[in-house]
Amino acid sequence: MDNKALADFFDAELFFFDLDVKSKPELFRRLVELLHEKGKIGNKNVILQTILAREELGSTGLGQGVAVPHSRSLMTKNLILVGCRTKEPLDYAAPDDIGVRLVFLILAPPQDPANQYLPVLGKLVEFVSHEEIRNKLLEIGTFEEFKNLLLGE
Amino acid sequence: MPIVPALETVIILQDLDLMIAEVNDAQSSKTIADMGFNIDNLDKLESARKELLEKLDDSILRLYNRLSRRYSHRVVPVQNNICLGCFMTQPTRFTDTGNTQLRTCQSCNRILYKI
Repeated sequence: MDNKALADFFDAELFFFDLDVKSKPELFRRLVELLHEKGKIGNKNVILQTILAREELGSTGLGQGVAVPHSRSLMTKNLILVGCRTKEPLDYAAPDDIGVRLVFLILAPPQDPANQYLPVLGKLVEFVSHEEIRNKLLEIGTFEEFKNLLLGE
Repeated sequence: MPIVPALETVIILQDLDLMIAEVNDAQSSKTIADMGFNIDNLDKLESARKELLEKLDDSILRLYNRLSRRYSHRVVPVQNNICLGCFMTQPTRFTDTGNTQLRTCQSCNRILYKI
């Protein structure tokens, strides 16, 4: 998968800058609420429980202020990618204990014939592994700027 | 869309079971761990699973366990009256109640979730 293919999964409607949340559970609740308001998911509680269960398995914080929560659920029809930057760093139980501001949530249906889930997850992790990219993600203010960054334009 | 609590619980249970299966699959777990994710606390998922099982009536639990022996996906979407597990058409009267009742496919017996 290349960056162009990854960019196609993002949606301007599902990119949130400077979200005002104070904790990891509040972050997940807000993102699930927003997804529900925009008609992207079925039942909110199922999605929330599934995301929280994944966190029980182990923190999805990657370190360096980035987290990529991810899970499969029957409540999603298609792969959904949400981008989010929080207003303040969150205590996320990341391996380096650095507060998280950059969050990319991936949700996918259990039956994924195109097998997109793990390639998208892998490509996203690679994208945010670059310090220069992370610094720019903390500065940008529009979805267009994000897409340009992802596409290297 | 309203959803009957038992259906909500079996969907969460299936989501958990698929997560556990992914961790137990050597190739998937290696892929995820290589990306830098921590997937060490399988015991916590198992505990969460046990709590969910306690919420289910015996008859639904038996059905879920029976389906688990045959299918990796025990709860499947039904769309336009078609079960997306076996692709057989379901009677309209069967699906027009949405998710307010727990229904199973007339053909494969999987639990249905209307999308």
